[in-house]
Amino acid sequence: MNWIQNLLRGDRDEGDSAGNLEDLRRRFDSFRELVEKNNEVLGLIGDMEEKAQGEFLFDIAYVRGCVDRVESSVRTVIDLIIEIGGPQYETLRARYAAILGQINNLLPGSDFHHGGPLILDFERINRIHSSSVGGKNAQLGEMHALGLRVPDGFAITAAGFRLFLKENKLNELIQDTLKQLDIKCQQDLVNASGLLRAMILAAPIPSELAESIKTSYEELTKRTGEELIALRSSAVGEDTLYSFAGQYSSFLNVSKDQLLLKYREILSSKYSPRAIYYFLSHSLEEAGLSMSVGCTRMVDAASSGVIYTRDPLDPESECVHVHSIYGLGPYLVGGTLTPDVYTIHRDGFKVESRTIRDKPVQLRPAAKGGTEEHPVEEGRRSEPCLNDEQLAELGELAVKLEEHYDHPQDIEFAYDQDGKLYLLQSRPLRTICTQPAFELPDMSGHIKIACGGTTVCPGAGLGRVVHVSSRESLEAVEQGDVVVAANPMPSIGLVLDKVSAVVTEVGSSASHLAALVRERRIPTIVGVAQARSRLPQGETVTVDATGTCIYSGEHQKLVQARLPEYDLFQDTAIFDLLRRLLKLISPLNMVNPGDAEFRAERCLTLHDIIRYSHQRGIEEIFSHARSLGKRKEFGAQLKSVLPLPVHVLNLDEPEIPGRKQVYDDNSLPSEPMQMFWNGMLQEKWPFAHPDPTRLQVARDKDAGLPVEEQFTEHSFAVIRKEYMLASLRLGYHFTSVEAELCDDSNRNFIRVHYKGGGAADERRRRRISLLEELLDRMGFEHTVKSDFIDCRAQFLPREQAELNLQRVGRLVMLTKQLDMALSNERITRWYIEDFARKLDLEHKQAFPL
Amino acid sequence: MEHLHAGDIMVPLDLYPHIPYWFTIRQAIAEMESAEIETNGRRSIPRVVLVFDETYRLMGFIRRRDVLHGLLPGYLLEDTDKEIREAYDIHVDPHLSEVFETQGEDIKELSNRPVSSVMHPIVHSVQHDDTLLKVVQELVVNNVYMLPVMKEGKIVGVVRTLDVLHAVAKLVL
Repeated sequence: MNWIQNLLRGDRDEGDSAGNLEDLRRRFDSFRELVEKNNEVLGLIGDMEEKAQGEFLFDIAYVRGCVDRVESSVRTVIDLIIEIGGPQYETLRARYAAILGQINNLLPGSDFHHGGPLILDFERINRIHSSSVGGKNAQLGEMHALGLRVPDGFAITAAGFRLFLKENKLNELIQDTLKQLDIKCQQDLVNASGLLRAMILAAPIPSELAESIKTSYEELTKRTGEELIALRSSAVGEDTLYSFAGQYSSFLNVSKDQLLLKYREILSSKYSPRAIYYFLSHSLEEAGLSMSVGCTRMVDAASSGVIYTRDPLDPESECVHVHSIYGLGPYLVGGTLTPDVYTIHRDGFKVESRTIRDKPVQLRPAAKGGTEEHPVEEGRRSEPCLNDEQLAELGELAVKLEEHYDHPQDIEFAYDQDGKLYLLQSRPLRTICTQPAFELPDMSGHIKIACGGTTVCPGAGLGRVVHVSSRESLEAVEQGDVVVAANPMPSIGLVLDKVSAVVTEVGSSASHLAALVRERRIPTIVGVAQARSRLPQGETVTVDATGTCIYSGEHQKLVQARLPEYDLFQDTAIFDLLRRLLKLISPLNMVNPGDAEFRAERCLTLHDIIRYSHQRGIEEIFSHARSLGKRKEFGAQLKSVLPLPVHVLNLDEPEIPGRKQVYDDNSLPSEPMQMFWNGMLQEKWPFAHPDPTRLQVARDKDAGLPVEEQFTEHSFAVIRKEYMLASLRLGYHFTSVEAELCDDSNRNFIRVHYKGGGAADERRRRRISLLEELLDRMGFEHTVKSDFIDCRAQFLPREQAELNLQRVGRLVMLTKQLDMALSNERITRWYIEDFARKLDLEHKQAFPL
Repeated sequence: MEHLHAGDIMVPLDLYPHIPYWFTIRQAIAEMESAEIETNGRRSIPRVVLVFDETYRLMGFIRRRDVLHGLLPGYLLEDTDKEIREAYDIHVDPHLSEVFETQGEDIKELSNRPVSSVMHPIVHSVQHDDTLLKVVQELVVNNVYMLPVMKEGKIVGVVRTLDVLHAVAKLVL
C-alpha cells in the first residue's frame, strides 16, 4: 500500500525546486510525452502479437522496424521518467541494456560490434555462447557439459573472424559488392562470390589470431597425440533460426600446415553463391553473420549417421529415426549414399524396423590429410552398419537430448574404430504437422510415371521437368519447374525459390537439402528409382510428394488438395524469431504497484519497463502536485454536490497569485474530466445516515488503509483541456483514471487502475473480476493481479471515448465499497448483469482498432 | 458444555452477507437471494444481512421481514395514521388494492430506498470467549435470532440460533 500513500501524501519539500508550478508543468510535459511513448509501444506490441498469431505475412524488415521503434521509444520513456523523478530511476537503464542485449542476440546479424576472446575451449562453452562460437560449437560445448562424449577441441570465435575482416579492411569491400548484387541473377551471384572468396583467401590472418590458433592447436594435439584435426564451420545464427544446413564448408583430417589455409577457406565459404543467396533472400544482414570455426580431434569413423529424434513428417509417433552409413559422415549428409534407416521405439529402445541399403563406398581419412573414397568389402555392403546395442545406445541418447533441449533434435554422430560413440552436432529438428483430413481428387485414371521413394517434404507441385547435375545446369531452372536430380545436391538450395517440386534418385530425409526444402515447403521425394529416365527433360509432370507418386501432365486439383496439409507460415524461421523476440518484449510481470517486487530491478521485459515508468510517472506527478496543493495559492478546488473534495491543477491556466479558482460540477475545464465526472454524478452518492452504535470490524492490517487516514485524504486531478489524470479515493478503493480526449482517435485513450478495498481478499478479488468483465465488454484490454486491475482502451473515436469515460465514472461510483456485498459468486454475477443493464453493456462492444 | 465458546460456533464475518448502509433494499434482496452459508458441511440460507458503514463498522442488520416491510405501500402499514385509524376504526383490506405483482413499478421504486430506512441497530452482542450457555441466554432473553461476536472490541463473526442449536444437539442427542 506504500505506493498509494506515496501517491496521496506526497511529502515533497516545498522548496523552490519542487514547489513551483513551472517545475510541475515541465515535469508534466515530460509525463505527457512518456504517456504518448508508452501508448506507442503498447500499440506496437499489440501489432507484433497479432502478426505472431500467423494471420498476416511479414518479413525481417518488419521485425527489425518494430523492434527498432520499440527500443527507441522505451529508451525515451526511461529518459523521461528520469527527467520527471530524478536519478533514482537510473537503474532502469541497466535493465534496458540487459534486455536489449538479449534481443540483439536473437536478431541475426546484430552481434557485429561485440568483442570477446578469439579462442574458446569446448570445455568453457555452453549453449549461451552461440553468438560467439555459433550454434554448432555452442551445442557441442553444451553436450560436453552434459557428460556426453564429443571430440576434444576448441572454437575460433566470431570475434576472430571480425578481427580478420577488420585488420584486412574487408568490411566495406564486402558491403559494396553485395549492394550491387542482383540475387535473381545466377551469374551475378557466381561473380560476386568469386570476388569475395578471392579477397578472403588472399588476406593474411592477423598475427594475434594466427598465434592463438597455433597455440590452441598444439595444446590439443598434445592432449590427443594426433596431428590431424577436423575443422567445422559454425556460423553465428546457423541452426538456430535459419537452417544454413550444409551451406558452409567443413574440412576433415587437416594437418598443421594446412590449418590457417583451411580456416580461411571456411571463412570464404560464407560467401559461396548459395550462402549469399540464402542470407540475402532471407533479408539477413550480411555484415553481422559472423563465422566461428570448431577445431576438433578427428574421429576416424567406422560408421556415421544422423538421428532424428522424431519423424519430421509425423512428430507424434513414438519412434527415433537413425540413418547411417560406413565411414565418415559427408557421404550421408551430402546425399552421396542412401543410408540404412532404423526406427527405434522411444520406450525400451527396441529396433522396430530396419531398411538396409547397398553401401558400395565409404569416405575415410587419408594418411597425409584430407579424405578419400574406399570401396566397402563385398560381404559388408548390404549388411547393417550399426548393431542392436549401438542402436539402443543411440535411442537412449536421442531421448536424453530431446528432453534436455525440450525440442526434437537432428543429431550427427560417429562410431570410431573402437566402437566409441562421438556426438558431432545437435540442432533443432524442423517438423511438419500434416493434417490428414481432406479430400483428394480421384487420380485412378491418370498415368503414373513413377512411384515410390521417401517423402522429404509433403505436398504436391507441378511443372516442367529440368534435370540438374551441376551448378551450371541450375541456370536452366525457371520459375515453377520440377527439379530432377541424381542425388540431393545441396546446391539445389540455390534455386528453391523458383521450383515447385524436387525429385531425386537417391538420398534420405536426413540430407542437408532435406532441411532446406522442409523450411521452404517444397514438395520433395527422394529415392525415386530411375527418376531421370522416367521423367524426361521438358515434360510436364505433377509430383505428389505426400503420396510418393508422379503423374504425367498437369493436375492442379491435386496440388490444391494437398495445399492445406500443413500450415504455411506458422513454423517458419521468421515466426520463430518474432515469437522469441516477443518473449523479451511483451510479457508483463510488473502488474501490481502494491507488490514488494514492483521495482526497477525486477523489470524483465520492455513492457515491464514502460509499465513501471508509467506508474512511477503518475506517482511522481501527483506527489509534486500535492506538494503544490498544500500551498493555498496553487491549484483549484472542485466544489461538487458529491462529498468528494478534489484538488484540481489546471495546467492550461496561468497561476493567479492570491486567487483560488473554484470549479463546479459543470465547469471543469477539461473535456475528458468533465465526461468522467458526469458519469460519477449520474450515480448518486449516499446521503447521511442514522447514527446508532457501530461496531468496529477486525480486519487484516493490509486490507486497506487505517480507518483514521481514510477520509482525511483528498483526491487529485491534473488536467488540461484534452487530458486528465485523476487519482480518487472512494472508501477503501483507489482509482486512477488517465485519459486523452480529442477529435483525433489515434491520440485518444483511457487508462484505469483500480486497487484495494476494505473487505476480505476474496471479496476484493470478486469486485476486480466484476470490473474486468464489464471493462472487457467496453473493449478495454486488461491485466489483473489479485485485487488490482490495470486496463486500457486506445484509438477510440471521440463519441466512443466520451461514452466510455462516463461509464468509467459511473462504475467507479457503482463499485464504491461494493466488495463488502460480494459474499459469493452468484451475487457477483447478479451485479455484473445488473450493472451491464445499467451501462448498456449487455452485449460486448466492438471497437474499430 | 464449558468447552464450547461463542468463537467456536460462530460464522466468521467473511462468510456472512453484508452490505453498506446506502445500498438499496433491492440490493439486499439480491444478497439474500444468492447467499448461502456452509457450516458443518450443511448449507443454510441467511435470514439476515448485516449493514456496515463506510468505515466498515457494523451499524445494524435487516431481516427478511424488514425487507418486505420496506416494500409495502405506506397505506397498508398499520402504524401510519394510527390515531385516525383508531378513531374511525378503519381497516385497510389489501384485497381492495390491485394485487402486489401488478404493482411492479411501485415496488421497484420502493425497492430503491436505502436499506438504512428499514435497518435495525445492533443492541446485543456476545464476546468471543463467552460460553455456549451465555450465548443461549442472550438469544433467548433478548428474543433475537442472531448476535454479533466481539473480540478485543471488534466484530469477528455472528452466532445464530441455528449454530447454537447445532452445538446443543451434539450434547443432547
